[in-house]
Amino acid sequence: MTVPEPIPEFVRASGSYRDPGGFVFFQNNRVFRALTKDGLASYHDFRQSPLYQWLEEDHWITRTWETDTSSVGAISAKFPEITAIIEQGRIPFISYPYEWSFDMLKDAALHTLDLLLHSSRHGFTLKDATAYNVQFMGPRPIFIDILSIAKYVPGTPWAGYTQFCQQFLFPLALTAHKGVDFQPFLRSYFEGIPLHVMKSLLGWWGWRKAGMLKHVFLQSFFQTGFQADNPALKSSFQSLKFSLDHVNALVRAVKKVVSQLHQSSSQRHWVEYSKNRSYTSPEIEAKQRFVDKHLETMRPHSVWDLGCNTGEFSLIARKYSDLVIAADADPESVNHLYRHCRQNGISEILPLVLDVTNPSPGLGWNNLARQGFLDRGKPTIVLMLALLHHLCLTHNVPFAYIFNLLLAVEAKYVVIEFVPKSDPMVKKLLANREDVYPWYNLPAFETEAFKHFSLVDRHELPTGKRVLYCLKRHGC
Amino acid sequence: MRKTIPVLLVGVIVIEPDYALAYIDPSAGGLLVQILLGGIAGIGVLVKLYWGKLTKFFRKEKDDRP
Repeated sequence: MTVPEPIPEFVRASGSYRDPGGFVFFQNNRVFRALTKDGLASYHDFRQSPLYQWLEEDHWITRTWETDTSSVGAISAKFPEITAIIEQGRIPFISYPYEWSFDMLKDAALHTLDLLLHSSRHGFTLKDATAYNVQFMGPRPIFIDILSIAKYVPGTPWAGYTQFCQQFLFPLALTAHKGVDFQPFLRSYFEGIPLHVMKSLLGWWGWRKAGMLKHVFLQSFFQTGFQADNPALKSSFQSLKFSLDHVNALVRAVKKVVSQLHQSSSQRHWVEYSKNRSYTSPEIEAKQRFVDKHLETMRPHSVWDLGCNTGEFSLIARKYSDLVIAADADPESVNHLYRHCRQNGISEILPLVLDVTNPSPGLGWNNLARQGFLDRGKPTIVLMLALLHHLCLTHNVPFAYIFNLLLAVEAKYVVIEFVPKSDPMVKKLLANREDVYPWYNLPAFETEAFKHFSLVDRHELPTGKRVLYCLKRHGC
Repeated sequence: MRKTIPVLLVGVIVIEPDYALAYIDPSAGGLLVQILLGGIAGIGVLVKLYWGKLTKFFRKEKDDRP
């Protein structure tokens, strides 16, 4: 008698609860969508249209396919409304709009708008316009919410217009017009920047900027001044014989505004860092050789380059790994790297705006709708180059905390650079401050490191000041 | 009253049998901006919508008199 295989546990995506048409769940590292009767009908309409094939072949959307999963019964037992399950392609690393640089959010915005315009040619539309429906495969945006694409119902407006404004247009306009980073706003405002907040941030003269009068001020005026319980509001669209032509006119107008938004350069010094650094060309080459040599030996599945700046070492790492998360707290540096990857078709690097001292937390309902950065993957190797002195001397992070972080993300290896107090960059950091860091020295660093990691390689840069380490976690 | 706007809109939309626009709040501001896309007819609709609001306001003023 054969014993039936146990059904693998399915895990519902914590943030997938809004769409009555279905929800996403994971099983054995695969991604599935459970569909209700209405969700299935909508999916069939889309799947059978020529639009689906075109969008999938051109990588506008994630691939989906009918699947034979053992969990249908288990899911139907728990969720009686579920009638079908489809499988969809997996995104190598999930990222969120508050971790994207300006051009990433802009490309995601244009991707959404173009998808709307393409869909409309086949009588389809998007049910919503949330930025969380877009992910990045390297430098390329891809739309992941297949259920959002549904048949357009004549006499109805663009349902996602305000959502698009709050999650795409307003953050981009905020950075372009006011020079303020949008990432903290998107992290705080779960639904995007509210109308009244955007109006206040733009200031009274903000209406002069392209599109802002209509999409911010007029919309805000209508929002606050109108008694929306008037039942005539909804029927107005039917009486106006509202059609996809009307929707497309608005989508094109918004697209024009988005296309014209550009990040004004603040000339932050981090983008110029590679030109201004304190060490010499032979040292840079030695550092590059060290990183190259160990990555070539390891061929890691995934690399996290923390404090990547404009990605000098991520660009080395991508030769040996298909998944390089290049993270830096400076949005302009990340944008610089993103543009470089986009222009050169580099698909292995995912640049993200991330402050190592304050990584993205879990957000939304129960703090689970959006996963914290550290919960989203386990790197084979973490690169921490020219970062340690900033963490320790600018942010007062003890050595022990740094190695605890590496243990928490289960990094097997780490390439880390120790920058001594005699280094000109460190001298600059301490120039106008009392040196309260007697513990910041090489022996103390090594003592802490070797508690958890063993030495693979150690290399003193030619001038003998900075030291590079390749470490391997105990037990790996 | 303002707080009831999203609730009412969602309520109105959810009872609609079509599944296309079922679950996000399009917001009154966003809808009214879109009504303007209807050109002259749209402006007419807008005036009509606001006319209702104005007359309601004046009716209320009148009713409030002792």
